[in-house]
Amino acid sequence: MKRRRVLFIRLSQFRIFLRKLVVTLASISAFGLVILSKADNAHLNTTEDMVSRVLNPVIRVMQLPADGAYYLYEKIRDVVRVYADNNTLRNQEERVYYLEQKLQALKIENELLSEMLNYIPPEEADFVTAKVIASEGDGFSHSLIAYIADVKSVKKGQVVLHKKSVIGRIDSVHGSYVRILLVTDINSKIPVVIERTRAKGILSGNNTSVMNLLYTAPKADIVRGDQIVTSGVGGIFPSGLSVGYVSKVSSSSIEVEPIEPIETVEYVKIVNYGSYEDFFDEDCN
Amino acid sequence: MKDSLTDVLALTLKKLIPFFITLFFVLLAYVPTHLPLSHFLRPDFAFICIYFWILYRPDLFGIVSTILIGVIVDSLSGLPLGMNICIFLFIYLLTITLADYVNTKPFISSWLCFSLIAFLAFVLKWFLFCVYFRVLLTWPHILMTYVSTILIYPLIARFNMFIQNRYLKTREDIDE
Repeated sequence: MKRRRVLFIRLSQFRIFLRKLVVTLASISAFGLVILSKADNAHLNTTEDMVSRVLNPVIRVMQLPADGAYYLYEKIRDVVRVYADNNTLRNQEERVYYLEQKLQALKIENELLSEMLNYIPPEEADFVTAKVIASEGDGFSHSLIAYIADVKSVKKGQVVLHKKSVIGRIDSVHGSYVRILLVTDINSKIPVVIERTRAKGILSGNNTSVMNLLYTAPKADIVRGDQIVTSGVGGIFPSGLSVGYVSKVSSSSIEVEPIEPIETVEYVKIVNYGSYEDFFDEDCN
Repeated sequence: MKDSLTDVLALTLKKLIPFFITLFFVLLAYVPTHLPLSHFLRPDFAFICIYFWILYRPDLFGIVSTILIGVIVDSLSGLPLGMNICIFLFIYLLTITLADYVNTKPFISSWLCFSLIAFLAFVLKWFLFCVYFRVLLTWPHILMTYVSTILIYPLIARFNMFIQNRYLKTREDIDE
């Protein structure tokens, strides 16, 4: 096969040497920056904020054709699935009717018991919806960037949910854009409990598609399929929010998979839990 | 004859093409495709573009461009500022050292050379990451990113070659 000719520029030996020297010096400076960023330097944060504010709108525009292609793909997939889904829905309808009756009975029972205990329910959490415009998911970091119109109500540390479960928390706010640290990121550590047995642990991301359940009691009763929910310890996440389910239990590790696949996330809910975030703010201060 | 302002502007823009193409691919990597595994299997386009342009057009893609791309990637990915700059400068240093040897060889040689440089860059990034965050990052996922980067290299390189041969070849370049 004939090779396509590529024109290239040959630099003189002296210029190459000079460049190498400059690159070495620049590398040392960059390494200094890495050390400096460990100290949460305000100037570095400003640089990051400025770059994010300028480039996030560009990514948002670039997303439009990808969104169009995905919409088409979804439509075709829906048409293919419609008959199978119809059968499933018919079966589910009967079950839902049964559960509805049961729920009604439990609701009444709950009201009666609450009155007896003088129980005051917590305030309802409010939320805002944000559109995901960028996602980072290589072996080194797992985060999303989302666009949000009403940015005033969004603060660092707020919980981010998808449809049914927690997918992360707000890492930083840059104008109308927020960076979400995903539960699969290696820097994410969430206090959780096994819903069935109430066994406590820490759910840690490891930059892969699964998470690890750490610091569980040595003889904790944990089996494959167990639901993992937030424990509320630490005050960042309220208790009882679904995070994932146990996918593998071995002598050396317990693996947990997210309930919803993170790659399909298009919109997220940023939830304001009031007292929990006040706690977090005080903790930060 | 003195060049008009438009000519100067056009020439400057032309010189910035490699930087903007690299930036385009860097931003493209962040666009969510919602496809299965897309969140976990993502090639590092920045490695490919930086290597390519330093290899073939070091006059148009210099240290400043490399550092700027590093700042952008660090800011968007949420990694500590400076980490990707270090990695990209490392790629820069290795590429410029091997440029004379690789440039005269067939495409497969530059691909193999990229595989080696990318491998070393991923190892360095892994090392810096582990030291900075004090965690031991597992290899399989990074290996997947590495393999996907190597596999997509010919495609991105062909596109860059097309841009290079179509828009960046000048009379002065040929004379040199």
